[in-house]
Amino acid sequence: MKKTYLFCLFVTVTVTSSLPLLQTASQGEYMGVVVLGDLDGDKIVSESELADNILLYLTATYLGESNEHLKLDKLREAAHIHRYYPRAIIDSAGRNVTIYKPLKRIVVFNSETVETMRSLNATDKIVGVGEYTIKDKIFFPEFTNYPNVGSVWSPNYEEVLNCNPDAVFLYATCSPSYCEAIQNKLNELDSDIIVVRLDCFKPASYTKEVEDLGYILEKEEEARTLVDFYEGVLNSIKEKVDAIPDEGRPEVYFEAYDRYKTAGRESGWHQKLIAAGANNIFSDLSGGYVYVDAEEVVKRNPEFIVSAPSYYAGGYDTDDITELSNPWKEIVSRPELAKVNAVKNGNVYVLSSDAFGGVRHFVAIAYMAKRFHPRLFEDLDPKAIHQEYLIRFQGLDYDLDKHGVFVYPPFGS
Amino acid sequence: MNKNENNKKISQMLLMLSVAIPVISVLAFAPIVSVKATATGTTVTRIFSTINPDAESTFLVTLNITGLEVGGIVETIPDGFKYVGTDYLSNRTSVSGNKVAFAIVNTTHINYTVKAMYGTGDFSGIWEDYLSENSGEVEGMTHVSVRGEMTQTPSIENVTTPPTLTSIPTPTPKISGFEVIFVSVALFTLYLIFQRRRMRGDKG
Repeated sequence: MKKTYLFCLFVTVTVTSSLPLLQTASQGEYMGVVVLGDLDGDKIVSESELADNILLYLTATYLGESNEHLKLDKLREAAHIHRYYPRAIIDSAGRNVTIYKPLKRIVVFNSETVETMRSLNATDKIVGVGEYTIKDKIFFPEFTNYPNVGSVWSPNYEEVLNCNPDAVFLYATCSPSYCEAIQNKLNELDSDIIVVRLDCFKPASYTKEVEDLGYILEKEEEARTLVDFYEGVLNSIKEKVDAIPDEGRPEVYFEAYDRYKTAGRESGWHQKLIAAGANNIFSDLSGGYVYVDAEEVVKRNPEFIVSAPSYYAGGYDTDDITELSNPWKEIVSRPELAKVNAVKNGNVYVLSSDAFGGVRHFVAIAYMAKRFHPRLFEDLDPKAIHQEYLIRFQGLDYDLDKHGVFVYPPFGS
Repeated sequence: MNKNENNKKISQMLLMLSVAIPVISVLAFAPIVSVKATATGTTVTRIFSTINPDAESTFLVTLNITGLEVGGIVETIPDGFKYVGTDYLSNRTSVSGNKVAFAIVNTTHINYTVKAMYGTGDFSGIWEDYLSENSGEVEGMTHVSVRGEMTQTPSIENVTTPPTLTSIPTPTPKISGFEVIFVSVALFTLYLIFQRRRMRGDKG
């Protein structure tokens, strides 16, 4: 009896003692508004609204008056929102996106954007990721146990909502119909969730996407550092490539993911080939990745064949060169390609799509430029660029001299 | 160790926790206001139109504000002087007793008027920057003497402790009524238990 009595007392006192905690938590929904310090519900903290909040705080804190007011940390946040928000961008899908307050909880479907956020030291804002990020345990070890929101092709809306996100980041031009559907569904489920469409894998849009991400995540300085590095690599290549006359640019057949599936002029790999100083023999094809006839490849007679055989061939999680050498053997042994210059002259290369298919396209460009124009890029060291990126921007303890399979035949062989 | 000793130890532990938790909780969530020294370039400087006003006259106090984009200023007016008004926005100004609070958003100076009544006094003030999260004291002129009133003794009801040169406005603890009630109930319950135990002990 006595023990029960004391236990009840203990529970009562513990619960009452935690009331200050509950009170603090409720400050997040001060006066029931979405944006802290916004008193009229327009999502903007105007000068007069901020002044009102400040005066409430001062009179309660220093003048001894009793009122409902923001605590100091929340007042500082409201001041920050007043000073720095709203922030608007046009995302890579051409949509006007306005952010009214700092993004603190973000679900990111595409791993390229996760990687870019890591370069910006902004992954602390991520609360849920796509399944490909979770599966890539070598490159994204820190996300292994994060909530899995599926993929753009098979989204898990329940998990997205469980993450209680401020924003969801999706591809802009990759599988646009799927991403459009996700965007519409999220808007239907919770119109307060901000959808931002970013690719983070195309050379043509990457710089702007990094700058936009830096802006909406308040990581402008980090974004500038990344852009400086990225453009430093690409501009050093571009300066030389721009001086190459058209006849000096090799004709290249790029095979992506499947036999005779090639890169049309709207694809990321098309842009990479051009940036590396080559001509894409199928640049006349519209769209992304499209199948072509083997006869057409033979007819166009490329000087180089570059292949990214599958997402899982090569990469950081393997040291087995056969993952790239076997696809290489398969290509060079195709009877129909025997008379193609690329095969005859030994200019067939296989790249790891895992390593070079996304953000690290600039590393792929460096590798290909050196292959296409060995004399021109004699001093270019793609591996060193790759290693610097992994350490300096991704914070990965990964030694390219010891691990990974990225190009076959390897350079120098 | 017998069962009674065990029960006694458990009871003692529960009692200690029952007392410790509310005390720690209240202390942890009491507002902590610190006036930090700043090296951010923010300054708020006070200037008087006169440091020797005549009794019953008014004089102007100007606060020049540099580098404080979003913040607050609280001025404490000494005994013998009375706040009269300001040319600053009324909806950004609040007065209570001898303290005046100004909400600052993109403001470079504030004028306010004070009536000199008797004696001498030191004005003090603090500023807080809600963007940089810095804070500091209002600098510049502090001391004012009413002309010809140096020896006048204030009436009994006006006698208060004079402010020190570095006085800082005291924040009002923001502990809600519910918390105080609950903690009080808990402590009172503890008291009852002790009483009951004592009575049982007496009986035993």
